[in-house]
Amino acid sequence: MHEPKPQAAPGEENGASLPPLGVLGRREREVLSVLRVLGSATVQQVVEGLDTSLAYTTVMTTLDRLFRKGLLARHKQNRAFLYSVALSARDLEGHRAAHLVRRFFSESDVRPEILVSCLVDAVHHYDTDLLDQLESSIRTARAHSASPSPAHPSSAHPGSAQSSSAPPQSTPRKGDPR
Amino acid sequence: MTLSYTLRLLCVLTLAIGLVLAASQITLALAARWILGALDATTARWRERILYLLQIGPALIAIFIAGALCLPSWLHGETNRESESVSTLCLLVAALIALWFASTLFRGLALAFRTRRYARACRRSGQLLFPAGDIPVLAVSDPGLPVGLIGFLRPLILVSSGLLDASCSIPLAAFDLALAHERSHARHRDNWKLLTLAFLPRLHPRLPGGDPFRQPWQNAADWAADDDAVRGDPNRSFLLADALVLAARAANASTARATYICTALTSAGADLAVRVHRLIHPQPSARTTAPSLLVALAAFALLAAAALCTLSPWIYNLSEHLLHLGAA
Repeated sequence: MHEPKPQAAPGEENGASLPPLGVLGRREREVLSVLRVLGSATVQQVVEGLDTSLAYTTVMTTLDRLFRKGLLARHKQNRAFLYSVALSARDLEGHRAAHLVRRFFSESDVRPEILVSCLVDAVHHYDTDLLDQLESSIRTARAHSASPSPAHPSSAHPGSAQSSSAPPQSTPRKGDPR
Repeated sequence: MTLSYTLRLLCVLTLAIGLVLAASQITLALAARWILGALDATTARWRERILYLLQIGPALIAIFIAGALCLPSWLHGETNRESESVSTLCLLVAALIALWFASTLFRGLALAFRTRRYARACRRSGQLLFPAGDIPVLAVSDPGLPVGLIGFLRPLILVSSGLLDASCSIPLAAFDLALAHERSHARHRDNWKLLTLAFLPRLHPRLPGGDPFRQPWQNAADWAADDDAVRGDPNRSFLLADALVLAARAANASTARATYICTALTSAGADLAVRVHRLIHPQPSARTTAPSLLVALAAFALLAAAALCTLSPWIYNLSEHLLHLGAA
């Protein structure tokens, strides 16, 4: 029997049906990461899965708090609650980011475009157009360069050819250790 | 407030280190534009070395002044072994400086500990791609970077599993070049340099004097590692440029973020477009004016040291003034 997620606090916006996730504590994050690994677990299993030793009641309180925040689902199995993560890691980070961005824009007097530019620098996500453009530049420069030496196959893929410019190596694919 | 002889000595040393450190960081920051401009003519490796020296320089100068000038002059000049009153302003400044040092030390230790723990976890759970002997190369699930060097005594090269997936399809030759780039970082102890920088107290980046050389140093270290990896071969340059773009795409696909000390193939804040441009449009060899610049810096440091030595008779008086700063 799944318990329903707690209702959003009155006055919260639609996109923020979750509480301020930006303020998740270290212990809460640890518990969440254990549950992500285990899938679903009882309090005792979470206690055993943690790196640091915490009291059963502490973990139980943390799990209950996370459940009330809407980050966990739980259902009763025999006499114990079985907890599982209600949001994927990506969704959780998405909600946290949304919360952070709302705070970021509401707490500053600086022009939004400056803030956006700072954000773009900070998140370190390369612009896809830029990457396409760089790839095209490399292709063009390669075509214009002197005819490449056959000793350096530029299109060799792992497993299909060896680079003579480096020590001979076999494919670096996963599952193929040397 | 009255302080014992030893506490007064500690107070003087803390003040000396903190004030000299802050002053030299601000001075270097004011000259940063000129210094960076002068370094444009040097090779990437010299640029990296000098920028690293400029970062640790203020701390070395501060320790030298405190250890070689303030300490002996205090031990020689202070005859009162009993408790003595010290001004509140002096204590307040000393406490602030001690707090600054303590927070830096704590942050550095936490970072070093986190790095060690993550490197251990990778050794346990990572999949060995190439054997140990040189530097082990491990495939790790989403380490927060596509390719990177981690660890200090026994470094590892981490490769994100995402980069090795069929969808990414990184050519083997490009992958070799990415590894060569990381091996160059390992050979030049760039992780150790990052570790020392983590323990250096620095002014806040928004203050004048806050970290003007950090990002240029990281860029120079990446450029130097690129140059080492390609060894002047245009084909290798194109392959490394390919690897950079593929690594950037893999970094985009990653949700994790590296929170440990590492030298990544594509590091945060680094200008990827500039690196790719350097690789595909190689410039004529830079004039290596770094030795002459180093000689100039060394001469300047010697002159400064000589000037300080001539001041040494007054250093004790200066210490006394600091201890009674603001007192009536």
